[in-house]
Amino acid sequence: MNAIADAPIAPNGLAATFLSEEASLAALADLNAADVGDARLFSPLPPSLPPKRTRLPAVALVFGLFGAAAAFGLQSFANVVAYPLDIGARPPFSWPSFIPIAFEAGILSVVVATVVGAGALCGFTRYYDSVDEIRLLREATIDRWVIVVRAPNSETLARSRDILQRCGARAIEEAEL
Amino acid sequence: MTLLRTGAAIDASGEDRRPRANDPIVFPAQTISSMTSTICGPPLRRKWPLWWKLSLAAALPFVVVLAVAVGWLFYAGVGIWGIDWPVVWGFAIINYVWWIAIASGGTFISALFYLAEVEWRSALNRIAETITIFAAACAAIYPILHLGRPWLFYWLFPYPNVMGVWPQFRSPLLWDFAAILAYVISSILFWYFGLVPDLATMRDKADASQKRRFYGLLALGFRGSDSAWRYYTIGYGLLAAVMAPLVISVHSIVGLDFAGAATLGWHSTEFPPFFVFGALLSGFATVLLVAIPVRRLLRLEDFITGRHFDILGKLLLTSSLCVGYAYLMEAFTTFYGPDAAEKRLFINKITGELAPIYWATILFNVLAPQLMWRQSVRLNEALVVLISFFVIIGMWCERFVIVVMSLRRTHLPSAWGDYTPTIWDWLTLFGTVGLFIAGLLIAVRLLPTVSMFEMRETILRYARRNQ
Repeated sequence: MNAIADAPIAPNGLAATFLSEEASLAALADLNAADVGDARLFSPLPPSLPPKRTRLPAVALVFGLFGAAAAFGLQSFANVVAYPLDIGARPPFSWPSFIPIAFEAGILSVVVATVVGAGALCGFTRYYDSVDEIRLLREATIDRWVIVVRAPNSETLARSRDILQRCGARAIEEAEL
Repeated sequence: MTLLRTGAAIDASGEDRRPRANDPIVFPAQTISSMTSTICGPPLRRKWPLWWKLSLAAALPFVVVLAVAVGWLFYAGVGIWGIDWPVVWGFAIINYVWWIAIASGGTFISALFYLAEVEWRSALNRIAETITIFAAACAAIYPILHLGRPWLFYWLFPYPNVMGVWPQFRSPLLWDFAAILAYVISSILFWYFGLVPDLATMRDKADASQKRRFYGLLALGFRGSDSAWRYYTIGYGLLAAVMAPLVISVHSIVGLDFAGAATLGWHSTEFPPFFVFGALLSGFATVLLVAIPVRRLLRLEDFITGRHFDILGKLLLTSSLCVGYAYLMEAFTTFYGPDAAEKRLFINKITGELAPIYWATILFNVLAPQLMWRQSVRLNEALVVLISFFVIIGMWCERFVIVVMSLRRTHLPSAWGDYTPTIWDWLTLFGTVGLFIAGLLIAVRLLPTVSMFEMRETILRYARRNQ
């Protein structure tokens, strides 16, 4: 047996469950005010927190405009330059006819950019995280609000525990994060 | 829950859960814990319920029939169908328009009503989106089959090729290809994006390791952190904001497929909004038709309540009035205009040998939904199912009227013809119905039927109000 591998590792994190969003947000505010380290809330529904400033809508808009412009350009090239056909004497550059496909391509580009962008920001496909070892975290997607604190030292860890207990945590679990 | 002989649904607590006028959007006895257990129950259950097995056993033979019909079509060509000159668009286009309209109702509920922040949506949007996915899949089959040489469908894509040929982008038919492609891909992404938090719940509720792995893989590592939620809600809002105009554009373009042609009865600016109205009507009818049995069979009476029946019934009635207005305007513009051939066609529609199909359209799409003016009808499950079923049939008849009746009576009487669908037309139609039902059944078995994270918001909002 390897003695180093078997040595106990001191926990550097805590997880606490709450029965309501109000209690969990109050605890989160107290933890942040006490500057105990990295505190994150996991919840079964979107928490009532102020929205984050993100460039996602702007990025989606740029992709949408690019998709629409590219589709419009492709149609113009195909019907004006590469394969001009006389259809009922309509001009080859019948730009109003190119709008529907440009619109659809723009929307599709926004959808793909949003799903990929939001997915990346949400951490989609990050299948493992050290918080997954916390037993209580499984309740966060069901009916509990769970706060996970990563403390830099044992003193902060103890303070975090006090705050969480004072704020009405229903269960507390130590974690190695 | 037991079913009484009177048809009354009684839940485990002995309470009558028939739809009532004063029902809340969600019953206050439900907590987020009980709701999660109720919704997760059916997909996580090890044994498959008898009703589910019987329904799937009934639907699967139709899927086989569809495979045979499509296989025979690939071998023998579109000559196996009843289409011929002048009726060159037959069941394939009728069924395509019918299915894509059914699909659209789901997107209206999930996207448009999300933007409007309506509370009742959370119980129905998953059902509506699932309907969209499978109905759009059924719709997408037909234009490909109708191409004549379906294995060359990729010629519709604009790509450099040795023939130096490019698609003709001035044709509404190509707009349609782009619209359907964008709609199917966007609907699947929107549906899956909306499912991710619930798949994470399923992962964490599952006891069996195989199920945990299955749902864990699908949940993409979502854990519900505050940071993830905040980006997620922004992303979901963005998707809803673009899905709503997308669905309207898709149906407008389907209308332009017809309006773009110089064919009697088609060449009208009325068609894009007319088709959107039709999509709303058939979409709401399908959601009701699916939601009612799902509510009973999965014991969702506390979440899909009389309030939902009441609202959806009113929406069905409103969209029926819009469709009725379109029918009226079609008659008015025909006789207001100067074209004698248009008038002759319209008279043929209402008095000719196919007139029963026209009048069935009016009966099922306009007259039958008028019963929904009465609240007692809107809350009667049997009557709602019946009216919704009528609407679904009526919408199919409407597409038959549009496609077949216009094509068989062209400007030149010497070019008049007729149309008789063959057994392969019917088998393909019923095959897609089987595919749709089988798809819904598999979705109900594997996935949560109600959007749990949104329902939690509704439950908590109600609880706060009642405090």
